Amino acid sequence: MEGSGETVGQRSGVEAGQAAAGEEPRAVSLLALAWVFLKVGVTGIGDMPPLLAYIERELIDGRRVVTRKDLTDSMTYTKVLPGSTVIQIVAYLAYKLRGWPGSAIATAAYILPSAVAMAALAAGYVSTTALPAVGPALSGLTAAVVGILLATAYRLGKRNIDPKEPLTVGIALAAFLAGAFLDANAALLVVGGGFLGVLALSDQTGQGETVKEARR
Amino acid sequence: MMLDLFWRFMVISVLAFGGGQAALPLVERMAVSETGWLSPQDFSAALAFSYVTPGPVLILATFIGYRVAGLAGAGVATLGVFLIPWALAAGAAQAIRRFTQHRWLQGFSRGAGPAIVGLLGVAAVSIAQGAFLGWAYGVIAAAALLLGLSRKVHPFFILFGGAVLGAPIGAIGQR
Repeated sequence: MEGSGETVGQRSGVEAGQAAAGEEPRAVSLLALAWVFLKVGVTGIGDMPPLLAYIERELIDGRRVVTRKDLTDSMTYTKVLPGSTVIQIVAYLAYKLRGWPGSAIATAAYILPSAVAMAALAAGYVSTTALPAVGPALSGLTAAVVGILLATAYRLGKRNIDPKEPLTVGIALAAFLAGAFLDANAALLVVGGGFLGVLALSDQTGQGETVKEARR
Repeated sequence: MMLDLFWRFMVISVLAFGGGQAALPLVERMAVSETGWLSPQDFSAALAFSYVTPGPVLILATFIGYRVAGLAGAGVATLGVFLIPWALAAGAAQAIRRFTQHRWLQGFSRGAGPAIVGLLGVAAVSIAQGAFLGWAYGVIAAAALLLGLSRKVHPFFILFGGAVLGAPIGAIGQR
């Protein structure tokens, strides 16, 4: 099966898209999978939007091994899971294509370029901090980071805090105060908020969010 | 040290309800305030780098791992921060799909989300304390906030702008 990499994408993508559950590999070899995600790993600057655009172009319209529903599902089902969302979209789709090995290889290929770049930057950074000109620039950068974090807080806040659900407001405030003034452990605060959520914010009807809510 | 790196990043990864951005305050708390592995300035630089490089923002872990324990540390931290989210997502493609719809997980996510928002505030305040050496830096932060909210400018350019403006401000301030 591994050797059939040359015929990748030649098969009908429509059929491939409908082959639901089973472990049966679709028309993508592990090597091709690694190559596809290595490419987006090199070019996909800016997290989510380029990744989605690339998957649409390369895997949905190009090789036709992934359907739009797969992509929507990948976002829906990973949304409640913790961790990097882009990684999870890659992990989910590649699993659907080639099971665990495919998912591992695709995810590793996607991460590799940026990991190499970051390690190189970290290695170079050690020496640059010694330059006197870098200090003030770093202070400006740090000030900008503060602004970015606040903007992120606003965005995540709009998504996670519901004024009609006073507990969400309370948890956010409590986490801020405990973190800022009591130096409380960040991980414990998140876990605490989570358990309060299980007790008081769980969906009583058990329906939960459904597929239609996913973006795109 | 390796185990520490791996373990801490793994804990962060399973608490990052809301994606990579949600993990940022946890990384800042852990690496800057709890362990002192990075100064606030180093963290800011690392964050800027993680926006310039392609791929996930949490590739920040690679940078921190490298700074703490060299190349091996970079590998360990990277593995730690992506391993469980990867396994969960691949599992969600098949076996645990129903689990992701479980009301307890959704409840946990709904409660953890606001806590992360609160922690983003803590991280911002904590970083600001070290960096705001004058009102001019406050202006940079405010401008970054407004640009960040508009979503029209990529975070990298906002951070780059801050660095470019910071240099002359610092030079004037020292005279």
